[in-house]
Amino acid sequence: MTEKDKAWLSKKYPQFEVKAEKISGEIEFTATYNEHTERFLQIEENTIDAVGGVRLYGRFKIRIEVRNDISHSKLPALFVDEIENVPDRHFNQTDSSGCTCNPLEEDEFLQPEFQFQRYFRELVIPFLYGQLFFTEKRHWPWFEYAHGGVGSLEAFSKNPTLEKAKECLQIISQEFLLWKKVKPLLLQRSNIKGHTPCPCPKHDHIRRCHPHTLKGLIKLKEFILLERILVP
Amino acid sequence: MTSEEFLQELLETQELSAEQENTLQAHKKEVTDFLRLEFGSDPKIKYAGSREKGTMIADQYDLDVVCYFPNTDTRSLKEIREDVSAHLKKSYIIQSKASAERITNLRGSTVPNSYHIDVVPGRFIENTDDVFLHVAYGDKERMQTNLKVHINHIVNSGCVSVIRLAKLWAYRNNIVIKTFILELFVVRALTGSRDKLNLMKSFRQVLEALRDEFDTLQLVDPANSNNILSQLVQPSEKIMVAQAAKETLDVIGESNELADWQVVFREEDDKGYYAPLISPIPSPSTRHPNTGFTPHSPHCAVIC
Repeated sequence: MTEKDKAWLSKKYPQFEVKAEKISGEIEFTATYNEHTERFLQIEENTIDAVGGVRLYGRFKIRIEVRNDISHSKLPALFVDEIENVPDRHFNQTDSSGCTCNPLEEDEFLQPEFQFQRYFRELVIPFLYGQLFFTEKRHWPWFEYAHGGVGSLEAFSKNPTLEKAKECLQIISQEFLLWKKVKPLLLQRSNIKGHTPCPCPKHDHIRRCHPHTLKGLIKLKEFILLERILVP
Repeated sequence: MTSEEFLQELLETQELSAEQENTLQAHKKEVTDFLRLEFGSDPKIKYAGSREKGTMIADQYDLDVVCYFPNTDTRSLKEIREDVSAHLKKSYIIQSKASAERITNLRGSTVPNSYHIDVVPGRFIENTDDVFLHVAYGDKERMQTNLKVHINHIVNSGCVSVIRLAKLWAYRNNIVIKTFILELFVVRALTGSRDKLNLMKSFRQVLEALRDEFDTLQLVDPANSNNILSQLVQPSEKIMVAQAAKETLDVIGESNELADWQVVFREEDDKGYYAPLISPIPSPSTRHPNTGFTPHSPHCAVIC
């Protein structure tokens, strides 16, 4: 966090305690999400709400800490107190941190350096809004990736670059059960077909079950062949 | 095979199979019976949406069912909506949409991945076929509309085949556009055309209109001129659709060669998935003043 970030935080949320590797405190906010336009807006003083949608008010005790675990994420870990730590609410079941964003999509918050304010505005607040929405409706307000490597392949399909292909490969190869099913598909000579069983536990045709995962697999296979990426 | 024959055959492949049709009917019956358990014979429950308009495509479809209560019902629209929602929740997983209760867990092996059933509660207006629907978001709490007018507007337009082709184009190229907006736009784009039966010519005309006019479009609900439907389309979506149409026209060129059309509809590959031909959607975090941003999708990299 830069000095500018600290000044921003203390002005906006004066009740937060800021330490070297940890921020903690209570946050109060109102935000809205419109499912038709898929826009999210935090409502503050003087905000003209052009989004409409479902407006929710919430108050949470949160902690944001530098990660020192072996997670794929390079962003700080967000912890939310007094929220039921269930997978459908997108909490990592190992360390209870919030799964705010796919690791393959973190670049915009990390380059050229970590952008704390954007991270807070565009990942932390929407994630907390998601918790409020989930409490009311029992589902996440907007699109959510499938858990684990299947979701990483979905995210990769949106931005298939060589660098992301390597990163994606590294992530999915660490997931034993998934990798057992995916590796033969990536190495087979023939194309990956839509009726291939999905690598998720449902095993339905992948075209129907997780079409974006299929797209990600096809792209990944192309990169492996064209760029001769080593498959672990 | 000519390009026109290819497009005609393509549409034939988009007819629902007997099994898919049976599944739809079974779902409609199940939901109808379930609603009747609670509300008796009062509401009029029938198919709506693409099923009634004849614009369904097998690659991607869902089921729309309206549940209209008589005008003598004394409950408010909100109460009607809440009652329908509460009842459906007893048996299904429900998502509340602007005017519909969406059943997400009634599926089958033959339905597409994103298949769902939208139940649209409403109340008839005295002595008319018009209905009031409850609207959960936005400025107005209710909307006046007319299902029959919607259906007739599309069915009698002579554009059903072109609409189906346009839907298939949008789906196979990952173009985000609300179906009813696309339907109305196609009808408008082909108004006055004498070649609606010529798919290739008509679809090209629609693409040119999308490229040139979609970002300035003003589409009105045919059943209620106070509903400006084009307001539901975001400026970024308009740009994206216009760009997609332009890129498609670039692929087709002037020659109308079969191979080009096959590329547009992703028929040439055997990969089992239709990789998008069109440029990717603009960055999800593109922000506008006071119109917020599209939030990132949550994801657990470690299996939860």
